Amino acid sequence: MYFVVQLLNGLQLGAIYALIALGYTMVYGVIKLINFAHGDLMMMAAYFALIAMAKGAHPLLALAISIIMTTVLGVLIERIAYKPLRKSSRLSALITAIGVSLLLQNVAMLIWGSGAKTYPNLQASLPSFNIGHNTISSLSIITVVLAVLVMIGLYFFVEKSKVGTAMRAVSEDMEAAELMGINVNHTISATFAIGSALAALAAFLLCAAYPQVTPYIGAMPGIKAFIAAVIGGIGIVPGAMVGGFILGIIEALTKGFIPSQYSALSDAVVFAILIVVLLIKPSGIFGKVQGEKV
Amino acid sequence: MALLEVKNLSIFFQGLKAVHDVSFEIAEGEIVGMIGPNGAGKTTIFNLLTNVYEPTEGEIFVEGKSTLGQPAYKMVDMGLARTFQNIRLFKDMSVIDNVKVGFHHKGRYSIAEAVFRLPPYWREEQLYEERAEEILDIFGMGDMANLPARNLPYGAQRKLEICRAIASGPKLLLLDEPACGMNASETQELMDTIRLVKDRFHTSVLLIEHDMNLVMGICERLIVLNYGQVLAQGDPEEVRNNPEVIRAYLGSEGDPNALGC
Amino acid sequence: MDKAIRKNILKKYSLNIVLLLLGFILIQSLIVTGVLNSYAKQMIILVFINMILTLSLNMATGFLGELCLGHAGFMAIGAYTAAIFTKNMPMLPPGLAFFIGILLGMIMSGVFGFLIGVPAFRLEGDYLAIITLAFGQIISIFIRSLPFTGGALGLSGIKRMTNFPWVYGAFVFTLVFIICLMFSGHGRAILSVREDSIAASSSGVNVVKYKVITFVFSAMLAGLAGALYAHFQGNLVPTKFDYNYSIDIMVMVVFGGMGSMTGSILAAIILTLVPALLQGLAQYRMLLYALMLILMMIFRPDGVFGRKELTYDWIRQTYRKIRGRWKEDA
Repeated sequence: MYFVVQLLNGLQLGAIYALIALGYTMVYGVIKLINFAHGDLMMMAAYFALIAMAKGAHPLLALAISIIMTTVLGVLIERIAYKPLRKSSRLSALITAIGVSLLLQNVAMLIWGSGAKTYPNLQASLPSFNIGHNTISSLSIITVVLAVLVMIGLYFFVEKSKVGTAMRAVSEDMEAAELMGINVNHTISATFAIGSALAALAAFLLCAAYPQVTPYIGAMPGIKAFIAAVIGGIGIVPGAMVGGFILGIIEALTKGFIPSQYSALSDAVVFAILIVVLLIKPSGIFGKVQGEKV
Repeated sequence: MALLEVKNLSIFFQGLKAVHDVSFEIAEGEIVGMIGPNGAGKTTIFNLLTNVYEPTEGEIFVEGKSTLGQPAYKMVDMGLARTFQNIRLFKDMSVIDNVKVGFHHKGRYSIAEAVFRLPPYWREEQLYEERAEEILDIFGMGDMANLPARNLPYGAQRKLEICRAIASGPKLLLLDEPACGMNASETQELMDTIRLVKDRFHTSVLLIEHDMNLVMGICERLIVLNYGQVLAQGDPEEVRNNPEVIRAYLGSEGDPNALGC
Repeated sequence: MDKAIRKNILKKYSLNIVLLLLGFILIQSLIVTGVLNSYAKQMIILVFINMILTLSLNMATGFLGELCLGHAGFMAIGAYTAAIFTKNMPMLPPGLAFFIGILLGMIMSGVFGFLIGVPAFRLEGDYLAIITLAFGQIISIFIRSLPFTGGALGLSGIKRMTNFPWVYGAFVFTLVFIICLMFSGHGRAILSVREDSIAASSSGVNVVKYKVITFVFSAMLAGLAGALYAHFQGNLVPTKFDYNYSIDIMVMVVFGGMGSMTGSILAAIILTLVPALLQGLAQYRMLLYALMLILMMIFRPDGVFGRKELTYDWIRQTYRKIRGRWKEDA
C-alpha cells in the first residue's frame, strides 16, 4: 500500500514537473533557448497567488490573478531581454536567461524577503480518502487529472489551431515562416504566454501540496522540469508530460524507499537519469535525431 | 581506378527519397559540375560524400576505400574537402588561422608538446606558417593574412573557404555553389581560381552550380540531377543537347541560365 | 629559422613577462616589508584565486563557447580532494603534501569534467549548461552527505599553506598554460569549434574530442583554484561552493569579455575588490550582477574591455593611434 501511495505522490509531483516542463519545451522548440528563468517565473507566480489570497481572494480567483500576472511578466521578459538577442549567439541568449533568472530571484528577495512564507493550507479544505493506514488527498488526484487535461488540450492546440501551426512553422524555420506571412513576434509571445500560464498553474499546485514559498522554490523544480523535458524529447509536447511523470515517480520512490538521512540524494538520482538518457538516447523518448542544417 | 566512386547511393528522409540510386565516378584531375533544379538533391549528395549524413543505401569509395562508418572529421584524411553554400568561416579568427585549421588533421605534435613549447611544436608551426602564407599568396590574399575573417569582402570570404579546404591537401575538392551571390567579374575570377586549384594542387573538383556560364566554362563533365536521381551525365555539349535535360529544365524552371541560387 | 619565431614570440609577450616579474617582486616585497596588513594580504590571495577561476572558466565559455554553470562544483572537488589528502598525510613535508594535494585535486576535478563532458558533448545543443547546473547542485548535496567530507559542518584544521608565492606561481602556470595551448594548432582547433562546429568538423577537427579536452582542462584549473582556496581558508564549508559562486565567476568572465584573458584578469581584480570594499552593497550584489549580465549581453557582448589582449603589439598600435590623433589635432 505504501508503494501505491508513493506512486500517487510521484504522479502528483510528476504532473507539476510536466506542467513546468511544457513551458521549457515549447520555448526551446520555438526559439532554441533554454529559458533558465522559467523556474523562477513559477516562483513569482507562487508569490502572486499568495499575495492575492492574503488580500482575501478566493483561491481560484488568486490562481486566475496569478496566471494573468505571470503571463504578462513572461511575455515582457521575452520582449525586453530575449528579443534583442534573437540574432546573437546561443551563448549570449543563454547568459541573458541566467541573468533573468537571477534577477527574478533577487527581486523576489528584496520585495518579500528571503525567509519562507506559509501558503494557506488548501489541502485541508479538500476531501481525503483512507487506504489502509495511509491518507490520500484528493488534491493529488485533482493535480494529475488537471495536468493531463491541460496537456491534451495543449497538444490539440499545437497540432490543430492556427497559432499552434504558426508555432510549429517558426520552430522549423523562423525565416521561412516569416516569409510565409507568419507574425514571428506574435507567435513567440504566444509561446511565452502559454508557458508562463502553465508555470503559474504549476506553482499553484506545487504550493497547495508543499505550502511554503521562498525565492528559491523555482530553482530545483526548474532544473528537474527541464530534465523531464529532455527525457521526453525536447520540443515535443507529449514528451514533456511523459518525462515529467517518469521523473516525479522516480523521485517519489527514491525518497520513499531510501533512508531519510540520504533523501537529498534523490536529486542525484534525477541527475544520473539525465546522464543515462543523454548517453543512451540523447534525443529523448519521443525525439528524433536531428542534425544541424548544413 | 576512379578517384571517387559513388555506387547506388540513396538517402530517405521520412519516406522522401532525397537521393535515389545515384551512381557516378570522378577521375583524377577532373573538374565535374553537378547541376539540377533546386531540391534535386545536390547539397544532400555533398553531405553524403562528407559523411554529414549516413546513406540509407549504397556506398562511397575514395581511391577504392569505402567511407562507410567514418566520422565526418575523418573525411579530410581520406582526401575530401568541401566548401559550404552559405559560407562557413571561422569569423573571429584571422585569415591565416582559418587556413591553418585546414592543416589540423596533419598535426602531429601533442598538447603537451604545445604547452611546453617543445621542438616539434616549433617545427610544425613554422611549416604551417610558411605553407599557409604560400597558399594565401597563390590565391592573391597574402596581404589579408592577419585580418579577422569577418572583415573580408564577400568574394574574398568565398576564396578563403577554398584556401582552407586546399590546406587540408584534398584529392577531391567539393564546392557548393561557389559563385552564389557573385557578379560577372567575380565569377570570372572564381573560374581562374578553380583552374588554379586543379593546376597547382592537382586536385579534382566537383562543384554544384547554377551559373551556367561558369559550369559550361570550366567543367569537363556534367552530372545532371532531377528529383534525387541522375538524369544525364556527359560532357557539357552532350548534356546541353540531351532532350530529357531540356525537358526537365523547361518543365520546371525554363531557361537553365535563369536559375537563381 | 626556429630562432626567428622564438624571438618574435618573445617580443610579442616580452611586455607580459616583464610585468609578471615586476608584479611578483612588487607585491612580495610589500608583503615581506610588512607594508600590507593581513587583510590586504588575504584580499590579494583571494584576487589571485579568483583570477585562476576566471581564466579557467574563460577557457570553457570564452574559447570553447560552452556555458558552464557549475564551476564552483569543480572548485569544490579540487578543494576537498586536496584538503583530505593533506590532512591525512601529516608524515609528508607540508610543502610536498600540499603540492601532491594540488595535483590530486586537479586530477579529480578533471575526472569529473570528463564524466560530465562526454555525455554533454555527444550532441549538439546546450546540454552542458543544464548538466553543469545540476552537477553544481548535486555536488554540494554529496559533500554534505558523504562520511569523509565533514558534512554540513565542513572540514576544518586544514594546514594554511597558501601564501603569495604559491598563488602567484599557480596563476602564472595557469596563464602560461592557457596562452601556450591557445596559440597552437590545438588552440586553433578549439576556437574553430566555437566559431563553426560543422566547418571545423569538415576541416578535420574532431569536435567532440576538443570540446571534452577543453572542458577537462577548465575543470582541472578550477580544481587548482579550489586546492589553493582550501589551504588558504583553513576550513571548508559546502555552502561556499554554491550556485551563486559559480555565477560570480561567470559574471567575471562576461564582464571581462569572453575569450579575453586580459579582460578575465582585470574583471577578477575589480569584481573581487569592489564588493569587498563596498560591503553596504552586499544585499544588492546579485541583483546588480543579474542586471549586468542582461545589459552586457544586449549592449556589449564582448565585455567591458572588448576582445583586445594586453601585448606589446597592442600597446605599440595604441600608442601610434594616439600619437596620430594628436598630430591631427595639432
